[in-house]
Amino acid sequence: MLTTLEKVDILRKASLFGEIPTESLARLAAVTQETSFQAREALFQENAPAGALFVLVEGQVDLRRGGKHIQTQGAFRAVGALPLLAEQPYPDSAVASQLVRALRIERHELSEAMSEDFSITRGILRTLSRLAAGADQLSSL
Amino acid sequence: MINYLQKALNVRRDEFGAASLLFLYLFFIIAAYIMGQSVGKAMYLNAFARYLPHAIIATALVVGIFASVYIRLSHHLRLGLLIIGSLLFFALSFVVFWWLTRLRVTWVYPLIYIWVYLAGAMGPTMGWTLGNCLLTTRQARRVFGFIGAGAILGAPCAGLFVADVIRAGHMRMETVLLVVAAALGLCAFLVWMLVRQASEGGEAALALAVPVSGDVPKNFRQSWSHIRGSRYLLLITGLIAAGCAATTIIGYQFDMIAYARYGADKVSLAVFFGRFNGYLGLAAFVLQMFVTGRLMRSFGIRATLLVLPVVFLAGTFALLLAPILLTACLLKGSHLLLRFSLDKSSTELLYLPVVPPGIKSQIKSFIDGFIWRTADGVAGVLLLVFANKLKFSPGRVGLVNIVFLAAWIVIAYSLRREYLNILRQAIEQRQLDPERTTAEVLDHTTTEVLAHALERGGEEQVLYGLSLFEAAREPAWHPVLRRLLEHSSPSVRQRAFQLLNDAGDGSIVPQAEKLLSDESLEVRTEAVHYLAVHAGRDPLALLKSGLNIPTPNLQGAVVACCARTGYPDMVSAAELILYTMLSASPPEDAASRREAARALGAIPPPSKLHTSLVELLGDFRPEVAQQALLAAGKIRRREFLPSVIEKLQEPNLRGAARAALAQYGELAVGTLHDYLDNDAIPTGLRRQIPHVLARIATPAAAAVLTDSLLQSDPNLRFEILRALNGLQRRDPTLVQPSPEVADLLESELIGYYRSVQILATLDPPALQPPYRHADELLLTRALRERMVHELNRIFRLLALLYPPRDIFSAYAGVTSGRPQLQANALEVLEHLLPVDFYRRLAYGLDPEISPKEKLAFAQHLCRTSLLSNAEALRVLLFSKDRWLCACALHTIGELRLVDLAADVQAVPHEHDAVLDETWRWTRFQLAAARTA
Repeated sequence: MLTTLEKVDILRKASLFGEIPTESLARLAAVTQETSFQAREALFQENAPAGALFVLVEGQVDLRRGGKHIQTQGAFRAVGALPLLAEQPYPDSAVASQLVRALRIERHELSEAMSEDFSITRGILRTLSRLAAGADQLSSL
Repeated sequence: MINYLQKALNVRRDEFGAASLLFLYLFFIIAAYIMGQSVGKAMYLNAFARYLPHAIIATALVVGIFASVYIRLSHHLRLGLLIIGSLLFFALSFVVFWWLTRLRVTWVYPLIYIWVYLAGAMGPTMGWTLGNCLLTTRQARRVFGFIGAGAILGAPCAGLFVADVIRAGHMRMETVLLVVAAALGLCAFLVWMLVRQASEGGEAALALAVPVSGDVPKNFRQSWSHIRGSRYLLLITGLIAAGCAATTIIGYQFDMIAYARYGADKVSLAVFFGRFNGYLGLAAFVLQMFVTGRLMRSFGIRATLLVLPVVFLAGTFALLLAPILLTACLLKGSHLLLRFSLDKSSTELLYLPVVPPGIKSQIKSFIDGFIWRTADGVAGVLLLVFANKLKFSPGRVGLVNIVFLAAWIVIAYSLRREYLNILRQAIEQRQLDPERTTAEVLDHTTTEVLAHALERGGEEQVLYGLSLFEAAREPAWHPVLRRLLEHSSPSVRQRAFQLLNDAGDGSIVPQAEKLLSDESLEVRTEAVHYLAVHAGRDPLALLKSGLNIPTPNLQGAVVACCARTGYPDMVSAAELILYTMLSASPPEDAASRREAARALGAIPPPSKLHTSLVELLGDFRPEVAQQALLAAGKIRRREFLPSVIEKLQEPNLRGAARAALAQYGELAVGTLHDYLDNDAIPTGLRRQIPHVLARIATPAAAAVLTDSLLQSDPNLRFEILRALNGLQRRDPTLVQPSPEVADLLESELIGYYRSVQILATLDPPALQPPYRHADELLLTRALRERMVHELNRIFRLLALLYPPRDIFSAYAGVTSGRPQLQANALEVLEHLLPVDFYRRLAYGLDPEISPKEKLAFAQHLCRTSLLSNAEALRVLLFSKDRWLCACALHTIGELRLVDLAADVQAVPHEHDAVLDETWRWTRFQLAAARTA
C-alpha cells in the first residue's frame, strides 16, 4: 500500500501531471486507487466510455486499435487521459503485456479535484499546451 | 387599526414609527408657520405697512445668513443636535417675542415677521433632511407621500384654527405666538424621538450626520461656476429666479390690498389671513391628492411648466384693471394652489437629468438657498423703488411683475426643448440615477422618453430603463411595460410586473395567471400579489384552484406574497404553508424545501419565518443548501453568518456561500475577520475568506486583509495578498500602505533566502538553470515550488507599495528564464525600489550571480549557516510548513537516514493526516534500516 507522498512521487513523474505543484498532487494522490493487472488483462476496452485514467507504476501496457498494436507504454506514463478529459470513449484498448501496477483515477474524482484546486487544472492545461505541438506525444496520453 | 392604516398608506410595519413621527413633525412645523404668518403679518402691516419692501429685503438677507451658518454648523455638529438646537432656538425666540408684545414693544413686529419666514424656510427643510438620513431611498420613495401629506394638512388646520380662536376671542393675537413656540418645541421633541428611535443609545442616535461626497461642489462659488458651465442649469436657475421674484411681488400686492381693506383692525386682518390660508390649504390638499398627478401624466412637463406664469400673467392684468381684494385673492390663491403642487412637481422633474447625480442636491441647495433668496431680495428692492419711492399702487406694481412673468414664460419655453435633449442624452449615457431623484411624479413627456429607452438593448439596459420608471414617488406606467412581461430575463419580467402592480394596471389578469407558473419565484410572487390586489383572488385559494403548476412553486410564491404583507393573519398562513413545505415527503421533499428556501429569501427582514432557514442551511441536499445560502445573503441576519461562512469549506456550496457573504457586505466583515485570524479554524476554510473579502470590496474589508497579513500559513498569506492585489486593481484607494506590509516584506525576503540556503545544502544543482534534473528528490521539487511562491508573495507585497503595473511586469521578466528580459526587469526594479532593498532582492534574482555567491549572501542575511543535509532536514522537520515537513520526512524515510530518527520521533504530526501517514511510514523505513 503506497503512502500519499509515494503516490505524489509517482504522479509528478507522469508527464500529464508534471506541471502540477506537489502539494496539489497530494490532493489528487488521495483519490487514486492502487490497482494491478495480470498479463493480457485489459485496463480498458476500445470504444468503452472513458471512466478512469491509469498512471503506470510498474510493467508495460500495449495500446491497440482495431486489434492492431499502436504503441507500448511503461512506468510513469498516463493512459486513457485524453478521452477522459474530452469525455469521449477510449479510442484504443489498453492491455497489460506483463504484470502491471497502476494508480487509477476516476473521472469524477479528477473533475472534482480540478474544480477544487485551480493549480491542478492549470498544470494539466500547461502540459497539454506544450504537448499540442507534438501530436504523437499527445495521443499517447 | 394600525394595520389598516399601514395597509391604506402603503407604509410597512418597520417604517411606520419613523414615518408617523415625520408626518407629525411636518404637520406641526407648517402649522407653526401658518399661525405665525397670519398673526405676524397682521401685526407688522398694522404698524409698518409702508415698510413691507424693507421687511422682504431683510427676510431674504436673514434667511440667507441663517442658512449659511446652518450649513457651516452641519459640518461640525451632529444632525440631530443641530435640528433640535435650531428648533429650540426658534421656540425660545417666539416666547421672548410674546413677552415683548405684552410690554407693547412695537419694534418687535419686524422681528416676528422675519422670524416666521425664517422658521418657515428652515423647518420643513430640516424635516426632509432628517427623513433622507433615517430612511433608505426605497423607504423614502414609499413613505414620503404620506409624510408630505402632513405638511399639506398642517396649513388648513392651522389657518382655520387661528382664524376661529382669534375671531371668537378665545385667544389674543399675541398669545398665538406662544402656541407657535409650543408647536416648535413639540417639533424638537419629535426630532428627539426620531433620532432616539434610529439607534439604541441616545448619544449614538444624535451621531446622524449629513453625508458629504467628495466630488460635489463644496461652496456657493463652486456651485455657481458649475451652473455657468451648463446652459440647462442656467435656464433652471433663471426659471426659479424669475418665479421667486414674481411670487414675492404677488405676495406684496395681496398683503397691501388686504391691509387696505382691513386697515387698522389687526385682529380682522389676522383672521382673514388665517381663513385664507386655511381654505386655500384645503384646496391645495385636494389638488395635490387628486389632480396634480393626472395633469402631469396627461399633459407632461412641457405644458405644466407654462401653467403658473400664464395664470399669474392673467391674474396680474386682472389686478391692474380691478385692484380689489377679490382679484388679489384670486391671484394669491392661484399662487398657493399651483406653486406647491403642479409647479413644484414640474420643477423637481427638471432636476431629473442633471448629471452627474452626485451634484444634484448641491446644485438644488444652492438654487433654493441662494438664488431663491437673492430673487426675493431683488424683488424687495424693486418694490422699494416702485412702491415706496415712485408711489405705485399695489395694483400698478403688477406692471413691474409683467417683466418677470414674461421672462418666466420665455425661459419655460426654452427649457421644454432643452429638457428633452438633456434627458435623452442622460439616458443614453446611463447617467441618470433613480436613487437620487426627488420627483413626485413622472410626467407624460418623461415617461415617453423612458419607454423609448426600454425598447432596445439587452437585459442590463432594460433593467436600467425600468429603474428609471421607479424614479418618482408616484409609480409611472406605460404600455411597453406589459410587453416586458414576455421578456426572456426573469429580472426584467419581475421588475416590469412590479411596476404594473404599483401603477395599478388592472387589465393584465390573464397574463398574471399565466405567470403563476413562471420559472422565477420573484415573478410568481408578483403574480400572486397582483391577483390578490387587482383581481380580488385569495392567495390561499390559489393553492386549491387546481392550476397546472408544480405545488412547491406555487406554495413558495404564496408564502413570499403573504409574508411580505406583514399582516398577522397572512403571516400565520404563510407560516403554516412553510411548515407543510418543510415537512413534505419524498419525492417532492427536495423541491419543496428548495422552494421554501427560495421563498424565505424573498421575504424582507425582519420576519419570524426566517428562523426556518437554520434548518435549511444544514440540509444535506446541495440544491436545498445552495438556495438557503442565497436566501441568507438576501436576509443578511447575523445569526446565519457562522453557518454561511462554514459552508465555504464545501466545494459544491462554496459558490453560493461566497455570493451570500458578498451580499452581506460590510455586515459580514467583522465575523470574517474573526474567522481569518483564528488559528483554531481549519486552514482550508480560512484560505477561502480573503476571496470573499475581496468580493465585498469595501475599505473595511481591505483593512481586515491588511491587518491579517501576518499569518504563519504561507498559502493563507498568499490568498490574502492575492485578494489585496485584486482590490487594488479594482480601486487603488481601497488598499492603504501599512506597517504590516513592510514588516511582512522583510520577513518574506528572509524566508526566501532561508529556502535558498536549504536548497543549496540539499541539492546544489537545483539552484542553477535548468533547475530540474532527472533524479530530483520530491523534497527538492517541493522546495523549489515554495521558493516560487515566496518570490511571488514578495512581488505581490511590492505591488502594494510601488506602482503595481511596473512590479508585475518586472516579475514576469524575472521569472521568464530569458536573460534579456531578466536584465530589463532588474533595471526596472533598480529604479523603483530603495537601493538597499533592491540589492538584497537582486542577489536572489540575478542569473549572473553564481549559486555559491547566492548561498554566501543568504548566510549573511539570515545570520546563520547550514553545514549538512541533516541540519537542513532538521530545519524543515520543525518548520511550520506542513507540506515541506512531510516531504522532509519522506526523504528521510526514502534515504533511510537513521541518524535523524530521534528528530523524526519529535515531529508533531497528529493534526495532519498526510503528515501523520508519512511520519509512520518514515519510522517504519528507519526501523527496517536499523534491523537490516
